[in-house]
Amino acid sequence: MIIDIYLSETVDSWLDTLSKWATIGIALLNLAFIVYVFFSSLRKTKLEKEKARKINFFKTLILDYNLVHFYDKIEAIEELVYSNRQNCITTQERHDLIEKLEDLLVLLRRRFTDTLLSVDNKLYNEVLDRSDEILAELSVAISDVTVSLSNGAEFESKIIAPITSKKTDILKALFNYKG
Amino acid sequence: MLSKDNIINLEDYRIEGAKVFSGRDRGRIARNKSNIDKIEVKYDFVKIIIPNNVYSIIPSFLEELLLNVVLKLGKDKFLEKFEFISEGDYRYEKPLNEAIDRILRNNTAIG
Repeated sequence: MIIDIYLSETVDSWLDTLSKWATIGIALLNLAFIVYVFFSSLRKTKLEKEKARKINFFKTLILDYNLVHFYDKIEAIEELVYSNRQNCITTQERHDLIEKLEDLLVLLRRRFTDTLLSVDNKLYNEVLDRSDEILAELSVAISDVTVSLSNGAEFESKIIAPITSKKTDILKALFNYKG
Repeated sequence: MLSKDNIINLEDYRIEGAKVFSGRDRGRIARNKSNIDKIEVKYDFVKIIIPNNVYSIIPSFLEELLLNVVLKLGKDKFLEKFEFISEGDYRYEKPLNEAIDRILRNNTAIG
């Protein structure tokens, strides 16, 4: 009987201690969780602020101020190929036209594409590659003696279509930019 | 002139019949296959031959081909060490300068 009472008191005391430690443990876990939530929301807010800052900068610097240079240079490329479609017959004339296109694409890079470097490297590379593709596709067509630029249909498909398609790709990349 | 020792002939990396060198992937292949980075270390002077009947070398092709050597040497030393020879009518200077500028610009920009 005495042993039973003693055992019962020991178990009670042990359970009591366990309960106290469990309470402390739960309180510590709660505290850790609160700290975690606090810091993760702080990080999220910082990231969102940075994203908003980048988007604002992108909108002001690129879309409001520099997009005009992009349209200008694409228009200049179109004007150049239109004005040379009848003259592009000899090897030298083909070389000259490609060289003029190279010049315009360097200007496009300097006046427009380079500004993207201050916003986002990936976007810069994307736009740079698409503008290089304009030069590549046009150079292939112009250097091909079997392509007659004075032929309306060939001129449309080999010269104008690549310019339009890459222009659209670049605009898509710009407007899909999310910071 | 064939590719040998310190001579790299781009003819070896031209797609058959192509008159335009283009594409970052093709530039990367040319860089790896030509061993340009190792050649630069081994020799004091390197020649790059641009074959006949080339109408254009797209800057991104050159960017990939010359990436490591330009980053290592910088523009002036690169131009001192590398000589470009065009076997045809193609004037390579503008795309070459464009590629060098892009390599150095991209490397120093804040991303």
